Amino acid sequence: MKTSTITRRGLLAGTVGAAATAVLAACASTPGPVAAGGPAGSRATGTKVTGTLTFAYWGGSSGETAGFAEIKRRFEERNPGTEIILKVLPYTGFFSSIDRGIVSNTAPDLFRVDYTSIGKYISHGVLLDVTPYFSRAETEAFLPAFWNSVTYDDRAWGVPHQTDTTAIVYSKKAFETAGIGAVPDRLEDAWSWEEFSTVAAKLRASLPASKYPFAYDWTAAGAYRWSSFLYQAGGSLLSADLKRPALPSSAAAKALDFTKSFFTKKWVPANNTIKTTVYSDNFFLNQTAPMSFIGDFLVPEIADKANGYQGGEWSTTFMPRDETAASDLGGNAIVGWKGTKNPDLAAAFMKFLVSEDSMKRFCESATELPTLRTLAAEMLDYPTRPDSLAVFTKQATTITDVVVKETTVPAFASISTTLQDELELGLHGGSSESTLRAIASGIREAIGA
Amino acid sequence: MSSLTDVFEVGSGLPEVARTPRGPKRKHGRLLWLRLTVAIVITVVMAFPLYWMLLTAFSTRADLYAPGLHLWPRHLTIDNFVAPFQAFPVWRWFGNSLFITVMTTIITVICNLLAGYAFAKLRFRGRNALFLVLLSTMMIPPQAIIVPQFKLSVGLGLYGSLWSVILPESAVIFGVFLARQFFIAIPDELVEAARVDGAGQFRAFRSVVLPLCKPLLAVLILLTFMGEWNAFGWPLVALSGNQNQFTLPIGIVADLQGQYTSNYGAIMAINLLMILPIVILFVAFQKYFVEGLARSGLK
Amino acid sequence: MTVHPLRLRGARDARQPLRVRANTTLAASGFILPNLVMLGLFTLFPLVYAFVISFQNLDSLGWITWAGFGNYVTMVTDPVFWQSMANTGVFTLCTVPVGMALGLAIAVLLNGVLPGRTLFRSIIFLPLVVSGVATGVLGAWMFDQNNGFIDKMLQAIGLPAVDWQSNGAWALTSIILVTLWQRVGFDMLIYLAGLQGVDAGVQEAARVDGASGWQSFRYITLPLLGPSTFFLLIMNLIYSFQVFDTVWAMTRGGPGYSTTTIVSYAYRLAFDESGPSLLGYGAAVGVAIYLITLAITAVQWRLNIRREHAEQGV
Repeated sequence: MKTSTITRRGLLAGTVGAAATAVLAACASTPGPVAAGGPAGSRATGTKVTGTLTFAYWGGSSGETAGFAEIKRRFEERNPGTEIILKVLPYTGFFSSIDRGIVSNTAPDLFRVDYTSIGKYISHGVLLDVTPYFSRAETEAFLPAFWNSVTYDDRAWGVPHQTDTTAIVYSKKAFETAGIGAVPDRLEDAWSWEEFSTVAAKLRASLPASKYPFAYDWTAAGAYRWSSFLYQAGGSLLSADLKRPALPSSAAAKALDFTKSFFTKKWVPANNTIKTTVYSDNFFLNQTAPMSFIGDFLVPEIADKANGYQGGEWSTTFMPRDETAASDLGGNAIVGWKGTKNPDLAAAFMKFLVSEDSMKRFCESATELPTLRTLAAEMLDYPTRPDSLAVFTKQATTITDVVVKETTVPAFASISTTLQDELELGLHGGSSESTLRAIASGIREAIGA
Repeated sequence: MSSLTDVFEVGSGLPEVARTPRGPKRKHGRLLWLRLTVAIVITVVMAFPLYWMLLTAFSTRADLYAPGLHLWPRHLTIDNFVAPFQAFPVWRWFGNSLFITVMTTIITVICNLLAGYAFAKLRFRGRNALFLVLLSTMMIPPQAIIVPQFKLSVGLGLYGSLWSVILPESAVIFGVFLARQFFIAIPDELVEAARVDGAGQFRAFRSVVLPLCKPLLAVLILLTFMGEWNAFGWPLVALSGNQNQFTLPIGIVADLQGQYTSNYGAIMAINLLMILPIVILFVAFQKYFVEGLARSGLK
Repeated sequence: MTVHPLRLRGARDARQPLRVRANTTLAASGFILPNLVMLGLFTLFPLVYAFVISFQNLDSLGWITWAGFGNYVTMVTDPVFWQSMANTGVFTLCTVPVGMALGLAIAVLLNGVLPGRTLFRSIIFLPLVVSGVATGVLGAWMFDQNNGFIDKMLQAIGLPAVDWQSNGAWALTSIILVTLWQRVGFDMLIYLAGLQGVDAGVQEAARVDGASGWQSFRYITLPLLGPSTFFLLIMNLIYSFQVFDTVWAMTRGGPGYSTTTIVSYAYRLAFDESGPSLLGYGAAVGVAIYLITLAITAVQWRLNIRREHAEQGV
C-alpha cells in the first residue's frame, strides 16, 4: 500500500504569510451576531467577549500545566472581564467524567480531547460547531491532516492544538555494556526490525534476569500504538475507504508475531502489557529497562533532576522501520461543549490557544509538536533536551496520511477498546490468527460495516 | 451474642499469668512459650504490611528501587509528603472526605436512631410489615444499583456536588437493627413515666431515652464514620468530574496511581494520611469498634 | 446474633384507647419517615429502575434505544461475564473457608491465658479498619513484580520471583492473600466472642474423662461455635461476592480479565474509561448480582430455620 508522508516543510507553499496574517487578524471582523451555522468565518471573534469559561484538561505533565496557566493569564490580560477556570482532571477516567458531565449538563465549556476520541463526540452531536468562527485563511494555516481530524461533514468541531509521537529513549551506559555500537541519529538511518532485534538480543544477553531490554508504550488507551508496527510492516487497520477492516493480512500477522516475540524472548517485562498500571516510562525510570518507547511529552519527566532518570546519560533515537517508517498520531484537539452558555467566548479562547504565539509557547513548555504549518516548518526552541526533541520532530514526519485518517474515524474510540481487549489476549499467548480475526470483527462492529 | 466488650479488655493477660499455678506442670510452661511464639509470629506477619507502608512513605526513591531486600530505612526523607501535596489538592481531598463523612454520619445516625426507637417502643399498625420492607433493602448490594443511582443523581440535579454522595450513602439500614436491639432493652416503664408527665413522644425520647444511649451512639457514629471514610464505589462515579471534589480514596486511585505509577513513596505517604484518622479512632475507641462490628458484621 | 425478622419482641399487644393509638401512629410515622424516605428514594427506587435500564441500550452520552432482552442474551453468551463469575467463585471459595479456619485457629490461640494477648488481638484486628483502597494500593506495591517486597523476599531466601502482575492465576492469588490479611481479624473476633460462651467447666470435665485436647475441641467446642460459624459464613460470602475496592485499587481486574470479579465487571462495563460504556448492560449485570445475592440470602434463611429446629429438637 502506498503511503505519503506529511513533510512539514513541503506543505508550506507560500501560506506562511496568509497564516500569520490570519492569526493576527483578530480585529478584522464583521460586527453583530450571526446565527450559528453560518458560513465559515462569518462570526466575529474580534468583538469584545466577557464572562467566565471552564476549560478541562488532564494534567499530562508540569510543562502542560504551566503552558495552559500562561495562556489563561495572557488571555485574561487581553480580554478584561473574562475569567478562564482551568479544571485539571486525571488522564485515567478523563473522558468518562466528561461524558457524565455532558449527560448531567455540568460539562466544562471547553475540553481537551485526543484525536482517537474526537470522533465519538462528533457523532453524538455534543460539540460546539465552530465553523462560523474560522475563515478559510485561518483553517488553511493548519497542516491539512490535523485540520481534517477536527472536521466532519464540512463543519469544524474544534481546533487541533498539538501533536506528539513516539520515539526511543535509551541509556548510553547500558548500550556500551551490551556492546552496541553507533545508534541511528538520522531518520533515514533508523533501525530495521532486524537491527532492532539484534540490539534487543544484545541487551538481553548483558542484563540480569530481573531487567529487560526495553518497554513499549501500548498501555491502556495507548493500545492503538501497537498499530505503528502494523503500518511499518505495510499494513493498515482499515481499508482505503475506511469502511471495512483491513485485517487479517500478512502484514498484520507479521506485526503481531514480531510484537509477541517481545514477550517470548523476554525483551520486555512480562507486565509491560496493555492492561497494566505500569507505563513504559516507569520501566525506564525504575531502571527495569534501559530502553523505552515514550511520547515526547514525557521528556521533561525523564530529564527531571530530582525525580527523573537516575541511570546516567540517556539519549534518543528513532522508531524502527520495516517496509516503511511509521509512528503514531498522538496529541490533542480542543473542543467546545454544545451546551456552553457562552459560545463566543469559547471560540475566542479556542482561537487564542491555537494562535501562532500561544502554540509556540505551549509546545515549547510542554515539549510537544505544533499543528500550524508555520511552526512545523521550524525547529521550536525547547528548553529541556532540545537534542531529544529534534529526534521527535523528525519522527513526526512519519505520521502518515493513512495513520491520521484511520486514527480519527468517528468509531476509533470503540476500535481502541477492541484493540485493548484483543491485544491483551494476543500478547499473552493467544493465537495470532484468532486475535486478528477478533480485532477485525470488533472493527466491523465499531464502524457498522 | 455474649458481651463482647471484654474480648479486648485490657489487663487480662499478665495478672492471670501470675495466678497460674507453677510447679510440677512444666509442660504447661512449655506450651505457654510455644503459644506465645506462634502468637508473636502471626502478629508480626499481620503488622508487617503496615510497617512496609510506613517505611515506603519515608524512603527515598533510589532506596525503594535498589536491588536486594532492605528491611529498615537507609535514608529517611519526607519528600514523599511534599511532592504530592504540590501536585494535587490533597488537603482539599482530606476536607472533602471529612465533610462527606461527617454529614453522612449525622444524617444516618439521626435516621437510624429514630426508626430504631419506633420499631422498639412504639406500637402502630403495619409495624412488622414495614420492618420487613426495610429489612429487604439490606439485600440490595450498592454496586448492583450503581447505574440507576447515577441516572437518579443526574435527575435530582445532585450530580456534580458532594451531596450526590452524602444523600445516597446516608440511606442505610444496619443502624436501625442495632438501635432497635438497644432500645428494646430499655424498660418501657421509663418511657411511660415520661409520657405520664405529659411529654410528647419526641420529648420523652429526647429527654429520657437519648441520655441512656451513649454507647449505642458511639457504636453507630464510629461504624458509619468508618464505612463512609472508606467508601469507594459510588463516590468513584459521582465525584470523578472534578478534581477538587475528590475524596482521599478517589484521589489515590484516580490521580496518584495514574500519574505516580512508579512513585510508590508518594502513594504510600498519602495512603498513610488516609488510614491515619481511622487508625487513631480505632485505638481510642477500640471497644466500640469491636462491639459494633461483631454485632453488625458490617465492613 | 443474626437478625430474626420474624421474632419481633418488645411489642406487647396491650389494648389501648383509639385516640392514643392514633397518636402513637402519628408519632411513629414521624420517627420512621426520614429513614423510609431515604431508603425508598436511594435504594428501592434505584432497584426498580435498574430493571428498567437493563432492558435498554444506554451509552455514556445518554443515547437510549430499546434493547428488549438483548442485554440478558449478551450476558449469557459473554465469555467475560462467565469468567468474572468464575473468578468471583474462586475468590470466594479461597477466601471464606481459609479465612475462617485461620480466624478460628488464631482465636483459640489467643483465647486462653497469654501475656500481651490484648495487643496481639488489636494488631490482628487492625487491617479491618483500613480501607479496601488502602489495602489494594499497598498490595499492588508489595506484590509489584519488579521491585515489590514479596518477590525480593522470595529471591532473598533463594526462591524464584513470581509474576504476580502478568500471570493471571498468581494475580488472583495475590488478591486472595491480601483479602485474607484484611479479613482474618474479623473471623478471629467473632470466634473469640463465641469461645467466651463455651463453658470451661464442660471442657475440664471432658479432660478428666480422658478426652484429648483435640477431641474436646472437635466434639465440644466446635459444635458450640455453630452460631458463630454460620454468621461468619453469611457475612464472608456476601463480602467476597461483592468485593470491589480492593481489587480495583490493586489490579484494575487485570491482567486480561483474570482478576475481574463480577462487581468490577459491572463497573467496568458502565463507567470505566477503558470499558465499552454500556450502561444498559452494566445495569443488567447489576440485576444479576442482586438476584444472586437474593438467592444466597434465601438459602441462608432456609438453613437458619432448619438449624433452629434442630437445636430445639435436642
